[in-house]
Amino acid sequence: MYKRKHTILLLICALVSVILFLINITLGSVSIPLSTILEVLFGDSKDIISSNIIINSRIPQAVTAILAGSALAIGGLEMQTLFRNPLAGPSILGISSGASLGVAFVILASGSIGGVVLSSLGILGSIAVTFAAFVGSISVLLFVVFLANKVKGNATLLILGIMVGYTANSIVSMLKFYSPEEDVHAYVIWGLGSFSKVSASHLPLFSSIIIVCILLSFLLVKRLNLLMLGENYARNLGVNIKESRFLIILSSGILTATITAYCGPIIFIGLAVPHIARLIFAVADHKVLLPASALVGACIALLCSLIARMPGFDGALPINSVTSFIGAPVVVWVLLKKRKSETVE
Amino acid sequence: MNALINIKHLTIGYKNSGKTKVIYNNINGDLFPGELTCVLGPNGAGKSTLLRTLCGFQAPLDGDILINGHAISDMTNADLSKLISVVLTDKINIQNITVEELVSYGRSPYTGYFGRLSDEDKILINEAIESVGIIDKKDRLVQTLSDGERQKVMIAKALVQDTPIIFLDEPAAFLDLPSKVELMQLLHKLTTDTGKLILIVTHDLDLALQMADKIWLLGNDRPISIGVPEDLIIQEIFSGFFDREGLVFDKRSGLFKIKNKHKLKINVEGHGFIYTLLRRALSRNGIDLVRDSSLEYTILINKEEDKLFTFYNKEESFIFNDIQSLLTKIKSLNWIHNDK
Repeated sequence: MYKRKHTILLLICALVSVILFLINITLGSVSIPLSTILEVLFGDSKDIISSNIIINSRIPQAVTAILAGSALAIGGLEMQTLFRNPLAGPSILGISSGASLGVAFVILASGSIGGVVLSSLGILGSIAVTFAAFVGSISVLLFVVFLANKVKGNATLLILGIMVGYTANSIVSMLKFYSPEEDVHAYVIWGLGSFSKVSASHLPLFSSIIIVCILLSFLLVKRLNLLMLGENYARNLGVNIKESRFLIILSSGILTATITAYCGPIIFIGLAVPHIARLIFAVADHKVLLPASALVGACIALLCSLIARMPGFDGALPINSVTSFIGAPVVVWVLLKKRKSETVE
Repeated sequence: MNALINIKHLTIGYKNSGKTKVIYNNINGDLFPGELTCVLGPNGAGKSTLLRTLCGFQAPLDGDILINGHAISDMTNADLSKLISVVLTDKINIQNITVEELVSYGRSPYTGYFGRLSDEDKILINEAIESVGIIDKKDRLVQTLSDGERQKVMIAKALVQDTPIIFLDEPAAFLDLPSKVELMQLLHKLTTDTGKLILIVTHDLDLALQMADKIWLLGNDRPISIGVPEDLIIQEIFSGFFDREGLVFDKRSGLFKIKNKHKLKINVEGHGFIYTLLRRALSRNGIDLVRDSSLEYTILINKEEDKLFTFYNKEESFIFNDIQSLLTKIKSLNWIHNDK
């Protein structure tokens, strides 16, 4: 149930994400004075280089981080509730493995079969990669949805999804084995994840897909709440189990597929953020948990993006190396802190 | 009175990859509003399968279940959610949910897309929590409650669902005896006060026989028996259903008793409550108390404070003030010659 405490916590999370957003566009490898940044933001800057960096690089990257963090956290929350499994994440049904397969086909197969090194194609190459990842992940999503209609039990579906993921990964390793080193390197780089691949021109399309899907996921809160009780109780309370399962997988799947297509397979956020949100908000109701996960996800992703580009690092660190490095200690800290407050009570 | 649920030629069981496993064949029966019905039977007789079928969780292999004349197979989950509420054995494992919140999910069939509760819903939720007697724990987190309290939360959930029918699967399984009695009384009160139809699958024979308006008795390889508990006792139906080594149905008390194997007999003189208790204690130790003065030993029950029992034969006599010391003495004797 919505309580005042939750509203305040949500506002705090929103505030933190705004602050992190501003820090994200302030800091970077090129140092731009705060006054110039404010001028660029409020649209009367004459410094073309600075405004180019901010508008075409830092803002898209920060917005991508926010959307990716929110989307993956919601996707993960939906999977954890549907499968009643705390270890489920947005990629549990093999959707990001599907994206990897698509990308592997384009990057690796184009090299070994077509004789073209995709990384040399520049912008065209990156569009091809995004497209391939999207096709790969949506294909797997459709296959899983098809399976969801065939099988009865959630546990069976979960195992099938994981098997689909393994199959995709094994094909990827075969492709890798027969590919030249540069291509494998390009593939590995893609697999490390990045918030910087969404260009300013792609940003409107990317943002609208994600924002619409996030808003639509709010329509699932009642079903998600009832599914926590288990399938039998949910059914007895009038939930159409098959339809709900379909909608939840679709919602989580499209969010994950889109993010993976644009940013690569981002690990950890989708799995850990719902837990962090549960620990901070101490609530089970998805009316609170869903926005909470989205905001906490945005904060964590912004934080990771910031750390990845910290001055002193040569270039940017891969996002995936940061998400777990930052996220895992955060989860441990929150858990231990909660343990302590429980014993005090 | 008209039946609320009609069950016609119902066959229950499972279908798995083309193979059909029949659990129970050709069940016919009616369930009435305002009645508490208990489904009894040994393990594996199909009680839970019957309940799952009645809830609409699994399709019957054959036959019909009609509620107010309409087949439940034609109803959607949404229709059924306003007719039947359930309390299951499924473990609720939700962290950080309050009692009030969990009970409020029972209103789901009536709330809108986001599950927002009206003021009227909130009053009903409060009333339901009050009626199961845990209003003081309304704001507690469910994970901090005892098993019995959790069971009451789920019953409150079923109550706010406001259905004419409530099915409960082993609702008293985790409860201690006073809580079991309290729970059965609550359910019985609900049937009489609100006219609800309540059906309970249970293992608690004694309680079911005392509290139920009707009993449905399922047994392995025999047709279902339905009736008022006392009728079933008169017709000597129970003894057949639970016929096992070591268990006898005592027709006089209407209760099941543990059958002890007796190795030896002792004559007894005396009556009353002390006699009953002594008989029970000795019986557990393989000794049958009989009234036969030809036996070697006799226990005399005195009505005096500090010498309750006199235990004697022709040669010697002992006085004991409690059953424990009497038993110790009896066991210490050499009984080889008295085995008849």
